[in-house]
Amino acid sequence: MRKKISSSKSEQISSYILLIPTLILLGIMVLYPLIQTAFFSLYRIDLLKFSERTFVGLKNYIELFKDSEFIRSLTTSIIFTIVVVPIQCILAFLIAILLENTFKFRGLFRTIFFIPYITSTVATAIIFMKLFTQDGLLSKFFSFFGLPNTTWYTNLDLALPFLAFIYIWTTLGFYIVLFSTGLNTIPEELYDAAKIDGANNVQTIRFITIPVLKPFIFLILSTAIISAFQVFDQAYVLARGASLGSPAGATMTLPVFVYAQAFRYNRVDHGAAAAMILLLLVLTITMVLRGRFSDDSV
Amino acid sequence: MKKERSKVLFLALFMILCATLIQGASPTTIRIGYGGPTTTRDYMKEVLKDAESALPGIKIEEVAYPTYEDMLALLPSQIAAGSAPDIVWWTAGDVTDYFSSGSVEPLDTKALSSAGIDLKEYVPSAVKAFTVNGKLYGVPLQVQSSAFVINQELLEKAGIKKLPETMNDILNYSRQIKDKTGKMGLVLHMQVFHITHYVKAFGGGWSYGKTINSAANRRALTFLADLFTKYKVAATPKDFGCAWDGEVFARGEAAMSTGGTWYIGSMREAAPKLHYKLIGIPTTTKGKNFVLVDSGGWSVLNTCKDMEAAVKVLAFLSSDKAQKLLYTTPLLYIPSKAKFIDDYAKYVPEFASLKDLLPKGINFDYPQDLKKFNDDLISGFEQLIYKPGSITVDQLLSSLQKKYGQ
Repeated sequence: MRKKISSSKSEQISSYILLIPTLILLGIMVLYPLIQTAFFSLYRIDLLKFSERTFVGLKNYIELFKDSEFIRSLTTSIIFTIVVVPIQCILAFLIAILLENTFKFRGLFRTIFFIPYITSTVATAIIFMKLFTQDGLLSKFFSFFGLPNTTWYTNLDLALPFLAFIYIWTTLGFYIVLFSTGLNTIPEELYDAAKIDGANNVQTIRFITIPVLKPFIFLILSTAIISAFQVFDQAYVLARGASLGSPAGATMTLPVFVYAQAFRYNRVDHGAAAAMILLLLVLTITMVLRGRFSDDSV
Repeated sequence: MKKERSKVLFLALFMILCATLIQGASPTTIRIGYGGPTTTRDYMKEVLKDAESALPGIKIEEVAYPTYEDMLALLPSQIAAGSAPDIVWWTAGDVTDYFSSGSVEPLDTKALSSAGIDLKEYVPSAVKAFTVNGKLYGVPLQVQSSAFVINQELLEKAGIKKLPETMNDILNYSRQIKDKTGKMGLVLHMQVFHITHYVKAFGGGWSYGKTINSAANRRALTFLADLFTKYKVAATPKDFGCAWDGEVFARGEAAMSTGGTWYIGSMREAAPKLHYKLIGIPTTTKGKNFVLVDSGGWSVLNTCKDMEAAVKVLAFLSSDKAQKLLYTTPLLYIPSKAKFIDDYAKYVPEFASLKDLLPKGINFDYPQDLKKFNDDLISGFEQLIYKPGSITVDQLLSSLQKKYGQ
């Protein structure tokens, strides 16, 4: 008994020792910047006069909520996430099911779908910008469905959908792979049993696939929401020499706002405060999701 | 024992002395920062060839940023972290916030003159560009002259024989070009720099924030917006998926643009066969063409620890040899010393039509907080042209006046 306790204790100690390098790295790479950002958000800081910072408490936060540009960027990010995440997840789920059930060359197709994810986001954005100019291949294609044949990313109403389009295109492959991994964990016997019980395809998905995939769905939803709130590169490229958020602020997502404040206008304080708000927002949504999924006994 | 102790003490003292002497003899390092394409790097290589012999006791360390924009993006963080170069090469108009924030050391003209820099040698507008509230924040290296750039091939195709002389000509020619060739009359890059030309052409200006909502400025913006929305003869580089006006111009997609002498090098590379001309910016009155002048030059950042050495390096970087290399290398920049302008015009014939306008060049009079002003102006102007009716010129300018007016 004594031996058992001491061996389990030493196991515990060694596992803590093994954790130390990771914890140190996490501390340096995640915790320290996070604390620093929170600290900066309470000070008045101009990047060009960095040493002359003064404590202002929550003033930066109050100023942000009075700033129409911040409110607009927050709204843009929320709308973007609300639109993008369901489309992304449903599409990825359906394609993953299709790949798992019907296709012969599923490995090949999975790779093809994954290619945009590993392609440079900047390169992808630039290529799509060429395709969505007036009379461009895709602008013309979409004009057959009643959309105007115009340069999408200079149109105030189409710029955000354009951003959503290239974002979904880029990230879809990643979620397909995640769903495929999840689908592969479902025991074949469950489907066989459903078949014997006379369940059709929709019923199989509704009563077997989705419930068993719940932990994956939670992971995918959380990742998708966090990632959608953090969209930056594509929006940055869309500005293409004009002001960030171009046209007329239509693509000014929250991360672009943070960047503009901190590194274009040198307002590190406002940038840090906006970044903290973004963090809190994402954290809250993730917690709510977690609660929702654990209620359903994931 | 005592002997041993004194030996050790003597040895320690000797080592401290040696270390002090070595440190005293080691050269001061001055880090110089610049960003740009290969032509910029090649120019710097040529300039710094003899730096070691010309600057005894000073070691030059180059900090070459991939692009000029990269340099501007990285500098604020580097200044905050104390890792910025000591001296930087930049354009005065882009960095006025650095001057006002105290990030740049004001230069002592007496110290400059004793190092061999005579400010009287320079084109006055170039010195003026680096002067804020009577303080000099840089030694000009090159003059940047704006110009109106015209694709003569497109003009000919549209049956136009004369170059535009007024803003009205620009409107009429643009319409004719669109009608006859299907190409755009004008390309406008969405930057305050380009819009400022039209504002000045209509007799307006920003006056550092005092006259943002002037009648002349309103006329200028209305003129520009009409080119886009009413006549549909103008476009932005983004409309063609391009990064800047020169790309659209080189592709022959638009006949006219506000630009500058930097077009010369770009067009030689991108469209060597293109038949084009640089002229002064036409105004509303015939024969009153003008150019806007900015200046690139060397400034010393306040993180520099040895100002005396920095001034010596400034003198070296501003030498006649460095000035001449500006146009004898593929950089093709206009030197800031007046005595080289004629020589430059011989090397660069495209510049001939601007030569007489350069001495009378006008400086920019942007409001403070330029980047924010630029972004707000452009954002509002995009709303004007991409969603006509959602905002008026008056609403845009009066909101800017409220925000940036002095």
